[in-house]
Amino acid sequence: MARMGAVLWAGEHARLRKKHKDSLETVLMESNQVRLLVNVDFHERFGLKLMIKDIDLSYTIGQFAERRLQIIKKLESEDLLEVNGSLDLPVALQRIAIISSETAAGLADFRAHIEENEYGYDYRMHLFPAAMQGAQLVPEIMTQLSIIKKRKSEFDVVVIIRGGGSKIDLSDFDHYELGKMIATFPLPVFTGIGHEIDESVVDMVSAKSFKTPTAVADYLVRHNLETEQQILMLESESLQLAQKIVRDRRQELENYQRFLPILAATTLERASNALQQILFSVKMLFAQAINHKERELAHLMALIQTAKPENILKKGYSITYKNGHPIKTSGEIKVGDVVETHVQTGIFESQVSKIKK
Amino acid sequence: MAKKKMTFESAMEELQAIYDELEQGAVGLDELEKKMKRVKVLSDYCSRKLRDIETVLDGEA
Repeated sequence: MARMGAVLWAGEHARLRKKHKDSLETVLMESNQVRLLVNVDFHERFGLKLMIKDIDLSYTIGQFAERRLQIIKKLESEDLLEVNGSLDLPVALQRIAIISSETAAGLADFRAHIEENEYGYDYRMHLFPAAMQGAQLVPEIMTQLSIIKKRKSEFDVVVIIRGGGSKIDLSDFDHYELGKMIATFPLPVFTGIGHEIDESVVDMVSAKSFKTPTAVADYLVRHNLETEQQILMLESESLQLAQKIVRDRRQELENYQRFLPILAATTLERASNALQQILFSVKMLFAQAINHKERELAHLMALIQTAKPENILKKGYSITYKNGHPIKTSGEIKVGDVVETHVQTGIFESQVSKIKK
Repeated sequence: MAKKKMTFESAMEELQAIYDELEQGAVGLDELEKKMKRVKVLSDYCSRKLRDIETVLDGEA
């Protein structure tokens, strides 16, 4: 392949810098392919030279885009695109490791946004300075990530932020090694590297990417707000559940308080009924016994009645007395005794003239 | 044997046990008075517990 030197004179550089701004430096970097508008100049002393008149940024951007796609493809084939995003976010994000340039536009905005959050949440921020554009971007960010990794227990999240930049500047973030390091980083990494449309490789492998540093700050505040709301909701729901438990148990207790006396009264009534039943049976038995004895007595009385002397006399019998004693055998009298005989209607005396044995 | 400390749950269980016995007619008259005195103790204890918890919850609300 033929080689030929090209010169960009200071005057031309200043003109092109004005025209293309920061993008010029990004494109004019080692290993980039460029398409140039040149004047071919021949100098007697210096020979044939190409004098750069303009640069076609879109050509290099196309190269960048191609490189970016290849990196993404490789990271995707290694399943690295979702790894950092699958890390669990801490319940509260408060300890923030910031990777940014001290002079980066957006860093001050980010800090102010965090510090003046309307909910008064506390954050601890620590800046790990790194170049946010140019050739030093990748090595410096990677160095700072290594330092943060060693101190990972001190932080909840890493944010990589810078102010707005051109689409070409963004290509600095399309780097395989840096992408891989972020993908496998033990802490969630958030980016806010100031672009509107395309995502850089760094954005794609990060847990979350935002368009601006302020958007990252908003998210950090919102995340904590959501956490707080969840805590408040849990508290309120727990309270409601506790109140329901108490209500249910009170209802249960009131059922006991209501029904136990009723059951006790039933038991009492059953016992009382049993007692009444026994008393009634005893009374009945007594009545039967008395009735029986009464009948026996009546029978006896009837017999006694039948045996009365006047009743015997009524039937035509008589009773003979000697000295007031009824004579029951002939041996009680002797001839000549005067005896008194009672009949129904009267009494007569007689003298014994003969005794037949 | 050390007497087990009364808890809300143990008291409620005992109330249920007394309820079951009464319902089955398994309580004689001699026991009834004793049981109903126990019911009063258990019921007062549980009511007090619930009131205490409600006071705490009302404070939270």
